[in-house]
Amino acid sequence: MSDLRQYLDRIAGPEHPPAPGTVDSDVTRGRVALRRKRQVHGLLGGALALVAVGALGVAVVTAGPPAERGGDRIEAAPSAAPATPGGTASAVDTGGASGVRLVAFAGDQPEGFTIDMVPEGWEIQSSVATTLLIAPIGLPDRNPDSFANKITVSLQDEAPGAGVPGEQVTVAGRPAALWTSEDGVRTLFVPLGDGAYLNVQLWNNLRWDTATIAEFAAGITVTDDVQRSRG
Amino acid sequence: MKVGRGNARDQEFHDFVSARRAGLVRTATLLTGGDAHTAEDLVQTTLTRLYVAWPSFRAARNPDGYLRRALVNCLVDEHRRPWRRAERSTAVPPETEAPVSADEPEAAGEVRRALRELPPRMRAAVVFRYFYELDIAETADALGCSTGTVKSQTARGLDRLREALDRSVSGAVI
Repeated sequence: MSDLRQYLDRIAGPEHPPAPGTVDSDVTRGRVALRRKRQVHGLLGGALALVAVGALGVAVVTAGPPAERGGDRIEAAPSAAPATPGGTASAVDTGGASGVRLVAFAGDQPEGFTIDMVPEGWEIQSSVATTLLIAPIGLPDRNPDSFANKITVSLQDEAPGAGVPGEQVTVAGRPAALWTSEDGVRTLFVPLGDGAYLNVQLWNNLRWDTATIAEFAAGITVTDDVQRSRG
Repeated sequence: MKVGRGNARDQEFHDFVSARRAGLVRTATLLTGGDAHTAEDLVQTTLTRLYVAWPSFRAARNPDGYLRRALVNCLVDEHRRPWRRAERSTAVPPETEAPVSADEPEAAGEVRRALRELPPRMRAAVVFRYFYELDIAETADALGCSTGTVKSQTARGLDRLREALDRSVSGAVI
C-alpha cells in the first residue's frame, strides 16, 4: 500500500460495530421520515399552494434604474397576465438594493413545484423531484449540484433549531424564518405543516430585500410530485 | 429501548444496517475529510433516505451502487445547507473529528487537511476511485457524472493530496 493510501486508511479509521441502540435509532428515524412523507402526500392531494393563484399582489412598473432601497411599495393589482420569459407583461419591482425585478414565469413548470414569478433574465436551470434550481440565463455553471449564484427551492423536513436565530418573515400570510449564514447565503423556511418546510436558498450575491424574497416564495407551489430532500 | 420490528421493512432494514453501518461510517469519514461528527450525520441522513426508499433499494440491480450514490447525494446536500452546519456549531459538541494525535505523522495530518480542502465531489472521486479502487464507470455512477469528469476530478484530487504529502516530507512550511 502506498504512503498516500496508508494515510487515507488511517483517516478512515477502523470499523467499529454500532453501539447498542444505534441501529434501532436508525430504524426509528426512518419510520418518522416515512410517516411524515406519507402525511405530506396525504395533505398535498394534488397540490399544496402557498398562495392562491391570482392572490399575489403585483405592481406594473416601467423599465428604468432600480429604485432606492425602501422605495416603491408593492400594491395590489389585478392578477398577472401571462408573460413571455423575461418579458414585462406583469412584474414586481421591489425597490431592493439590487433592483431585482420579478416577472411572471411563462415557461414549462418544473417537476415538483410550480412558480409564478422569476427574476427578470433568469430561467429554470434544472429541476428534479427534490430540488429546483433557478439561475441567470446563460450562467456557465450548469452543474445541478452547484448552488453558487443561483436560487434553490426544495422541500425539507427540518429547519434550524432555536440555536440558529433567524429573521421572522411573513410569506402569503404564513410565519416563516429567514436565516443568513456566515458567508451570506440566505435560506427561507416556510413551514407547511407536519414537519415539512418549503426551503428557498439565495446565494450570497443576491441582495434581495426581505419583501422580495417573501414575494418570490409566495408564488411557489409545492406539488404532489415533490420529494423531500432529506428523509 | 429496543424498537419493535413488526414489519418486513423494519426487519430487513435493521439487518442491513447492522451488517453495513460500520463500513458506511468508515466511507463517510473519508467523504467528509476525516470529520467524524459530519460522517455520522451523513450516515444517519443516508440511512433515513434509504429506509424511506427501501422498496426502490431492494429492487435496485446494483444495491452497492445505489448506496454509494445516496451517500454522495447526501454529502452534496450537506454543503447545500449552511444553516445545518451552523446549528451543529451551537450544539454541545460530542467527540467530533478525531484530533491529530501526537503520534500521527505530520504527513498524515497534511493529507487529512488536504483531503478536507477538496471540493466534496472531488473528494468522493478520490475516495471511490483511488482508495476503494472502483472502476471509472462505478465511480461515475456514484457521482452521477461522466467518466471524463471522474478522470479529471480524481487526477486533480490526487495531485493535491500528493502535493501535501510532498510538502510535509520536504519540511516546507504549509
